[in-house]
Amino acid sequence: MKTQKIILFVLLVTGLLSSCYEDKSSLNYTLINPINIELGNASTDYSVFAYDTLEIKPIVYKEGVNDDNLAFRWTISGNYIPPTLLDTTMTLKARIDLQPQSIAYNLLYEVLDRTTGIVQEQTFKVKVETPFGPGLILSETEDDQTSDISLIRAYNFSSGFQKDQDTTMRNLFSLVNKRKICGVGTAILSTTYGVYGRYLTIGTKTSVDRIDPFDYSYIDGNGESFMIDPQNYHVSSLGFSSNAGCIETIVIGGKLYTHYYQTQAIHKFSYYLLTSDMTDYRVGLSTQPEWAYGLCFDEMNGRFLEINGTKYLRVMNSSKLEPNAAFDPNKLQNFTCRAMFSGKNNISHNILQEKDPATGQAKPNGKIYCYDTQQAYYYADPDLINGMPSKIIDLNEFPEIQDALFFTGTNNRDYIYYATPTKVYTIDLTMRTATADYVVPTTESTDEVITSMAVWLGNGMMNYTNNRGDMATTVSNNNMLVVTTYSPSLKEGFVRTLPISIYTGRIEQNKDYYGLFRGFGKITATTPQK
Amino acid sequence: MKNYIFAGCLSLASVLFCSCDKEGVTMYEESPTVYFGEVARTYTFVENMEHIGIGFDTVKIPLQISGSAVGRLREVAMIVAPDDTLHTATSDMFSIGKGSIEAHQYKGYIPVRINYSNALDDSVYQIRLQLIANNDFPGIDLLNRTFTLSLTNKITQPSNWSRIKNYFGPYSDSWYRFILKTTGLISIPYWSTNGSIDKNNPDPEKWTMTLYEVKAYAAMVKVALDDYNRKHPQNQLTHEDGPEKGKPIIMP
Repeated sequence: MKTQKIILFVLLVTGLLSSCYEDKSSLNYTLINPINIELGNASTDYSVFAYDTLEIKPIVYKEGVNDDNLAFRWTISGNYIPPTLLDTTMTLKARIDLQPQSIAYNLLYEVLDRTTGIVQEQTFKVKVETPFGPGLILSETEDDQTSDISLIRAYNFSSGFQKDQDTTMRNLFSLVNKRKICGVGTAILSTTYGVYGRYLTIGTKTSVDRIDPFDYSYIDGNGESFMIDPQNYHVSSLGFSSNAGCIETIVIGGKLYTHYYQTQAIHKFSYYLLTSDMTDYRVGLSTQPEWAYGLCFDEMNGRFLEINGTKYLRVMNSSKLEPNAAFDPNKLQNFTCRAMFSGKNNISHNILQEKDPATGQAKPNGKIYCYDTQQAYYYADPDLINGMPSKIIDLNEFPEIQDALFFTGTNNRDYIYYATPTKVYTIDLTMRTATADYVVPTTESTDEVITSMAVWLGNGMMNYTNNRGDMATTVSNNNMLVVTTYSPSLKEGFVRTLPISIYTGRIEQNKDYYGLFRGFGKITATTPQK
Repeated sequence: MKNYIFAGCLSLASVLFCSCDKEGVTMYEESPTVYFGEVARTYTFVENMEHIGIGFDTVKIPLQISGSAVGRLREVAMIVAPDDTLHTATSDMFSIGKGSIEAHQYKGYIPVRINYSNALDDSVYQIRLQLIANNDFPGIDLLNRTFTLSLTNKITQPSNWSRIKNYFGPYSDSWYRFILKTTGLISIPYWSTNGSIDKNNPDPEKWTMTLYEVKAYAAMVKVALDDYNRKHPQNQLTHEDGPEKGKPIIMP
């Protein structure tokens, strides 16, 4: 028993003594100095042209650690590229051999402290830009047999440009691809969607070519641009529906083909769309509103057809017309379509002119009307609304209307603009008046004539006279006309920009605010590059 | 008593020391199992005319695995299903090759050499195949499915027809012949929406066509069918064989 007491006592004393032991396990640490990456006031968002050098100079240090004990890695990733090491020094200086993309790449900067193994990270966004950025793309010819593509980057056409930075890059197609386009451009269209959808489509009467608008490299052409070779490449029209399905359309030999952008799998034009009742058709022109399904005019049967996505061309249902409908969209056999474009309040303006039944062409002095049709969101009930008649506007009373070559309008004004060979008229649809707001100047030559006219739907800025008579500035998108002209005697093509007053809807009268770009061949087609 | 206390202290110390033992994390490993990527395949020399002259062709039967990919090539074994009454091909019509799953892959093939013979000109023969376990794959298809490989030199319903019938309608040999003649194709190699780049495509080399292309060809065929029927109003195109025999051809 005594022994037991002794053992118990020893255990008790041991327990008591152990409580006096100072536990240093939680004190055994040293504060580690942080790795400091200082950027000053510099942004973490960078922008660089492809194949140009990117420099980033952060100040990096760690107190108590020599720079020799720091290791660095600059790794770029994103846009479906594998992570790529750019540099292993403290400051980055590397040539960016990456494809230009509309989405920024991710640049990861890692600093390793070799003494502790701790890594400090800093991320950057790097947008790789193309030198062939936003602007006006045009197709021009000097021999009426072959064409080339040129790009104007300017205050009127490109974001962030000053007037003295205006640049024209001519003959880019042949510069990159070492050949001309085989034919005279009838339609061109540049569209970009995400990372994989990027095409500049160029159509002539005999060819289709597609290039990358970011670097002008060739993608494909003619039969290779189609899932099934149409073996006929007479292009009359191109269009792009950005919001109603993201679909590019091309009209070849009167048939409308679609290219669906929202896929990674295949980027070729499909077989031509069939009509919903399997009747044959021959499309002349088409229009692609911003939010509604597109509309086209069937010259064979004298009717409007709705471009129902990539599915079919919907024949309008005449039996669903209102009793007091302005017209029947299926009974326009006496007309040919001269122009189609969007107007104010979700209206499509369709310029129809009486045609000669023998030739199918517009009859000399044939009556000209604007047949307005309604636009409806593509997901609304299209059978009842989209493409259905709204009203008929008689244009025959307006001056020189029989000489009109081109028609256009904006979707925010109740105005229509038409161009004769030498003048541009503004029709005020509310007041039913037309005024010759612009006359092609004879200062360059006396034979300069208008060869195309379109409302500008791209980037850039413009100046105009505000209601106090001062110069004001606003975006040129939907506020400016782009008129191309040609002088046979000079053999020179011109691009003239005409601001539209946001107060009156008429063409700006102060000529100082007009733009002029010259030195081209005959310009036959234009498109914005966004 | 003294011994008891000593033993008690020793036990306590043992328990305490045991708690200091570092236990490694045991990762779950699924037993490697292989199975067929498809359930059936039809091979017709009609779609591969050049191989009639050569005398043979090779069909690569797609395989998929469950379990992890490993860093070495693994072999897959396959035999003719024993006592299968649906197996009609004779032994000189085919030979089974060595199947494999390449290193770091989840898919593979097992080749079957198909020999051409006149017997195939007017008949369809079936090879019934089963996977068998081996060292690399102790587990095989849990459902123990038998793969049917049909051989012929006749035009015959392709094994992917169920995937394209929404665009072309019911099958008949005569209709399929019309489709191939109109399109100029020798087959319609469609499996899933994005063709070869689809991850669930069991054989990206064979099933290359995208849904967009199928729709394009269907539109082309629809125009040809409509054209034929307009030119032959009293004698519209009908199915000449199969369950729809005698019925007019209607595309969805």
